[in-house]
Amino acid sequence: MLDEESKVIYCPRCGTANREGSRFCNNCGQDLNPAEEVACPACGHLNPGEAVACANCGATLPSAGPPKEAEEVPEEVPTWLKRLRDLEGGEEEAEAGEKIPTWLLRLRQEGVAPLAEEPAPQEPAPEEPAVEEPTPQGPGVEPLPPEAPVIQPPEPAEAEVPAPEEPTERTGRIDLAQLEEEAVPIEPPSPPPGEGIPLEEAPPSEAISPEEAEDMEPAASEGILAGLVGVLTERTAFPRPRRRQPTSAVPLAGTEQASVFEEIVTGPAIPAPVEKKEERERLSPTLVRWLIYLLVGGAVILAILLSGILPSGLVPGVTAAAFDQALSNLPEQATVLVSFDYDPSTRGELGPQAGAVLGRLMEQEARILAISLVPEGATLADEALDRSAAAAGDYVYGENYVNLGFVSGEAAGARALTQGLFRPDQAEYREGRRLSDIAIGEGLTGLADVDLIVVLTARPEALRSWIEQVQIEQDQTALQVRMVAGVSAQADPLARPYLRSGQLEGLVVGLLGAAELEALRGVTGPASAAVAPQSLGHLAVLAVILAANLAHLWGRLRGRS
Amino acid sequence: MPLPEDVTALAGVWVGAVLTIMVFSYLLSDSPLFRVAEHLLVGTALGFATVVAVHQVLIARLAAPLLEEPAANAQLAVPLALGVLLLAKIHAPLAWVGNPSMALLFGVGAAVAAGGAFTGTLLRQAQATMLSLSPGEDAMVAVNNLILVVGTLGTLGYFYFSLEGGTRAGEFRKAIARNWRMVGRGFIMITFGALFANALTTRISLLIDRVQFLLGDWLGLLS
Repeated sequence: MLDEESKVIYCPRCGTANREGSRFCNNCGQDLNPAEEVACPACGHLNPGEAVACANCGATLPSAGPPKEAEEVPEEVPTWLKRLRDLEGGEEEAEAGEKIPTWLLRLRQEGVAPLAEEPAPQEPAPEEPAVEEPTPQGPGVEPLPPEAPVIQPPEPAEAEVPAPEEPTERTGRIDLAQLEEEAVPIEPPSPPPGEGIPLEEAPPSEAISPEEAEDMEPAASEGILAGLVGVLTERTAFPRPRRRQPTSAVPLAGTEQASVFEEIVTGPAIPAPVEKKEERERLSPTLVRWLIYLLVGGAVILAILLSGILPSGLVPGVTAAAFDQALSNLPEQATVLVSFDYDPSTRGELGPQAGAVLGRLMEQEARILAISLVPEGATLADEALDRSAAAAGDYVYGENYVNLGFVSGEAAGARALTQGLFRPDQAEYREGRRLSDIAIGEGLTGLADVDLIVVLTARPEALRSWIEQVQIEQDQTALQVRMVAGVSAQADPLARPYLRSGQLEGLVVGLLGAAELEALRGVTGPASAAVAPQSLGHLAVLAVILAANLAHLWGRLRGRS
Repeated sequence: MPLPEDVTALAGVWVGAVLTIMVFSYLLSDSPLFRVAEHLLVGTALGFATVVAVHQVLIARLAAPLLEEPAANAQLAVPLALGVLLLAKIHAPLAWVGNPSMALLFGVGAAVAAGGAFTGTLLRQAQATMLSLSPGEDAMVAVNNLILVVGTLGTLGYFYFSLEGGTRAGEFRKAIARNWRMVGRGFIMITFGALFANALTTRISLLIDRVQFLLGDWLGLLS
């Protein structure tokens, strides 16, 4: 099992846990792997670890590098050092004396005082002039003994040349015959680049004098040569590549460009042509939004308040007429299964539909069985049934209509209805009575006794469940149930293909479809009262679309001109 | 002691009106009022669904038949056992115990849906697009059929992306497919437009319902 704690990186700024390997925080963008900061040796300014020059004064920076690399440096022991260790008794002895190497002990025997055992003097040695040699600091650095020979201090002019990347190795008063055999002969120091020769002609590497080495490199601060400043002789054993110094000569073209830049910067500011006029003309999104709200909402509210005055002008459509025809074709006291597959969020649209459908069915004295594939549908069915029964007058619960409640499983539940909808132990929704114990249940054996299924839904999936699972055809023994549907306007494009294919005999859509049913019945219900508000609402939306397109077109024409 | 029906009805109207106004506060901004109403809707819907599921499914169709006539309803022990196994999903180390129930649930659901979709939608809808383009008696029907066939084939062609080129005939086929794809794209755009317009119609219907409720049931301004 993976340790989750070890696979995350916590942001140092906001504390967010980020995936391992992330470079930046997913929450605040903080750099999760910041390089070690490097202090400028000249001004002390803290610079990023990867910087090569100080951002404050421009001085060359020593490379910081991550701590791991610094720890790996001592492992790369140069050949000359290995040979030196061999001369002093082999690696084993060198390793055994970690604090004081053997060759250093020999140095002591030859007259140099041990570095680690005696404390550093508070005052400089009397025989030597007081020299403020920068004492190396850091882990493993030992103070210098008073007897240690002191290297001459660097010249002030050359002390400004920092070269801290490579530690300077110095030889002491030891026999370096073997070492010198491998060493490159020291050549006289060349004049620094920029002073006598062009930069391009400067050699890639050159020998440097002890003074230069002292100036450019600090004493070794750690490792086997720690604390050896002043102990070794002022003699450079190895040449090392000299860093090329940038020339101060500026090309002529650069000077001209700089003068042009200076003229631009110091010259009088020329005001840029700002298109403020266009921004002023543009309406803010908030204002546009409120205008749309006011226009659509105002149209709807006004139409509702004036619903008795405004003409509806409704003409029933073909699909609603087919729906009404399917109800008209039912036999007397037909059994109709009505599925209330909608919830309160779409009740405003499907409630009037349910009222219109139930009113039409009650006119034909049909036995109504209510059912629902959604949990909330059973309660909404109760509400619609009671309201329509109260309007019909002689409809009694349990005798003329019943609510069978919620059927779980949607598609599988609808499929299960074909197997055993009217079992003897089937309980109705309100009081839990068995269907076999109430009047409406007499003679019902299954879905085959149902003359018509009416699906009222806002979801195309529910309608598909009924069509695909219940209205199936299998050869000549098919269980084929006549089916009509009332859907929300949103589901209309996905329900209409089933009407065209003949799987649905009729379809009413939205509030308009409910109003069409009411118009076919010759009554004025809540759906009819909503026709005028809906028409005005649509007109308002059309006006918004037209205005927006005209504004866009106007803007494009102005942009071209 | 139950409250009088008038009182509960009046309280229901007031609660509904206040919640409706809280939802409409979203027009100003995503306010805490809207959030409260939203959470109430989700919470009550979930609670109501749970109550219905317990009373209508677990008790009415499982527990009651098993307790009243256990011998006659012995087959209900299988869904009961599967349901109990499903409860192990709550405890992570024992979650595997509920896997058979989940497998049965998804397997049966997928099989029922796929079978119904094939026989109820795919075959029937494919058959419904096999229409005669002959003018016959009614020219309008023929035009309607032509639009349906062109739209169906064009939409199918829009999703046919790979055609082998290289040869002269292949390039010719690709050119035809490219143009045919544009026809399908046009029909798809029209369909999306119709979907959007119908969604807008639904929203306006719901707005009308709420305004009728506020002005009529709550404020009594409508007759």
